[in-house]
Amino acid sequence: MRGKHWWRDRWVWAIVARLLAIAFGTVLTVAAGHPREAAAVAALLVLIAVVGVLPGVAEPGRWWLPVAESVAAALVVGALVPAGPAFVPYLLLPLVRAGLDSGLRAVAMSFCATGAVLALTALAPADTAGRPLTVPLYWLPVLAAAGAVAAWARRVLRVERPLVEPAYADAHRLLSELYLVARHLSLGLDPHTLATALVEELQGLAEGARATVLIRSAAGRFVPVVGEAPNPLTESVVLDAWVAADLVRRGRSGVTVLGLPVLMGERVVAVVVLSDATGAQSLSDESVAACRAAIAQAGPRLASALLFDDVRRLATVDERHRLAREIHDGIAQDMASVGYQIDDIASDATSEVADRLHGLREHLTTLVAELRLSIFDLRAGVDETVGLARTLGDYVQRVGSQSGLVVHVSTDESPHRLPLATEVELLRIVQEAVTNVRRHAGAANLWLTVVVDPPRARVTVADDGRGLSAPRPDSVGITGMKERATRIGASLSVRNRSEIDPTARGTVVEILLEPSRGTTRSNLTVTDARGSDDMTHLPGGSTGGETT
Amino acid sequence: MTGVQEQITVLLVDDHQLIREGLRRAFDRAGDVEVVGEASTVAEAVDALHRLAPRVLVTDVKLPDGDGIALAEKARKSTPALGVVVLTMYAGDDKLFAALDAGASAFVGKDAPAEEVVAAARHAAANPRAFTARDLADAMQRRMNAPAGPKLSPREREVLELLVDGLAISQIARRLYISESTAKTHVANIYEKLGAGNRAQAVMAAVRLGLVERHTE
Repeated sequence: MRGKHWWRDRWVWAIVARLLAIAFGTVLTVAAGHPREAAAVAALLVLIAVVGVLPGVAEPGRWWLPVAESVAAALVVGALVPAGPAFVPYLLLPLVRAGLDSGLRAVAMSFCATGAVLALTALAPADTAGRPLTVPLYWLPVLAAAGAVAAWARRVLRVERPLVEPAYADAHRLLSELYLVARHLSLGLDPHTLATALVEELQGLAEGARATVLIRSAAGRFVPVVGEAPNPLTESVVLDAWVAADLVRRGRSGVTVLGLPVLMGERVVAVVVLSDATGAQSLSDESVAACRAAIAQAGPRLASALLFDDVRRLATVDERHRLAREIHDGIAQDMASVGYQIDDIASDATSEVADRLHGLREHLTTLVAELRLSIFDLRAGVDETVGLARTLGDYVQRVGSQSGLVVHVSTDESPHRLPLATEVELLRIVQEAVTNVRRHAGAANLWLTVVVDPPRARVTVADDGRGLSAPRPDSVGITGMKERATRIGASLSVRNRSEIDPTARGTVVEILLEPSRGTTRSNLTVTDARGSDDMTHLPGGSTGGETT
Repeated sequence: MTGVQEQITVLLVDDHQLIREGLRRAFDRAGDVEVVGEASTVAEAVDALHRLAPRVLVTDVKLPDGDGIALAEKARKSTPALGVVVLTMYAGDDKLFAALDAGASAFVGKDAPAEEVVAAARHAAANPRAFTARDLADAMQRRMNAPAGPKLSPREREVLELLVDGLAISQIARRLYISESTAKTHVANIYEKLGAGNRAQAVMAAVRLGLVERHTE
């Protein structure tokens, strides 16, 4: 009954069962001396059986089919019951089918239909020979029971009867879940949230230890999703745990460091580092076993989140590039060619018209330049071989100078990297902020500061333009920036610079990534050596990078 | 090549017909320039270059069957005296520097007036080997101002200094109280960051970039 075309097999069985029932009734009725009625009932039932069970008509799941078959069969059997009570068993079959195909409700409907039709046929004129006018009453519970048993069997069988190949069924279920989560709980499936939950769980299991979750970037570096960037000791532990796909324990000068791979099947997707500087008590065999169990459970979840993150990023990049292509090959070229036409007309025009055309040409040049920048924005990405500060600096320099802004860049970047997804969002936020400055601020100077010390980062974009006093038409842009910041667990503020320094003009957009904010344990991260005082003062206008 | 005067012959390569028409009209207006051919793909352009032997190639960066900058590079190699003007709708500095590296004579954005393209073609005919672009100076400055290249962690800096001093990895490990495998990881990271393949290259790069003090013997 199973296999690829299980229902086709069932169709064969259904026909065989019906033919047997008909044959049984025919033989008994003929034996009772009613060959003509037997032939009539048999012919009608064969017709019903064939039409009712025919593949094509009889797709499983059409609940009304068994009901219709019940009605038709009950009519025939009921009307001719005086001749052949032996055909009554046939009535069992539509009910069984209702149960197997559609469940209890279809059984109930078929049963009611059968009962009603039999009751109606019983009203027909009495038979002269004094034979019973209707189906014996004891058949009713038998019919009901058969249907009920079939419905129960359906429930049991259904589990073992996958309609789709199991791999696809699983994949589809997983994707549906991802889809739901992604739609309704956009923060539920990001690696950061999941990793934070895991870290908190582990720190509960191994009291006193510090946990970090690291993933491997495409460039081969280990990047903390949660927790501190690795020091040389943890880095070597992480590397070994990654390669061995097994627990690695190492200790030096009182510090015990454990590397635990997070596995999805055979594959390592991340490494959890547990370190304890207080002595080895928190990392007893018992608590380590508990941590391993927790990590084993979290593995598939984290792997899915990382994968989903990748998929989302790829899809986004794809779409951005497609848009860039569309603008590049379409509207931008058309507008450029209009510009050339204006140049052409202006060369033949009278000086007065030429002056006006000149103004139009300037406007058009600005528009095409804007389109060029839009294409540039859409294509800009994060290069894993170049630091984030460099990427942001290059971008701001390029775009700022095109708009006549004097650009000041000040960076302080550790060699460790932030997760790629975070870096991409930071770039997009800076793009949006710089676009706002270019379009609305009327500024002369633009300051960009980038401080990256994973897992912390601070990026500010400041200008000396007209500030936020007038309600800006681009509040949507600010909303977008806030959404992006939320996605990476950062806070974003847009303020007038006068709030910090009463003599300053313009706006400052600040993105602050401070993971310790989100966690309750104060001993989770070491104190930020840079302190926050240094982080809130605005750049005076230093240019170029400074080394750590 | 009608020879009234020394005409500048131009081959126009762009897949947008309206762009080609607009530029052709601008060249016609100029008087001293003659558009001898048009092409919309790299293949057509290669063929036309052979057939028409123009003095100047004006090409878009993005062509349906390839890259205009690669085309420019190839054409420049086979015809050293060819003037090459690269047109673009892209705004990134990378295209400008790619055109410079390919040996182009001029780089013009498509937002610029047609006269600028004509002027670039004249320049290309006169000085095919001298690169000009409107925001070349800006771009150069941006490149200079870009935050410095490789950044080493304090630990990597220590390892690098010992590398430069000529210590073996096992000695470095002992000196810094780290395991040999950790020292190896640091060295590998240093190589990666400096784009070096071996110790000598790493030391050279480190000295060149000013990452370590030059040792005077």
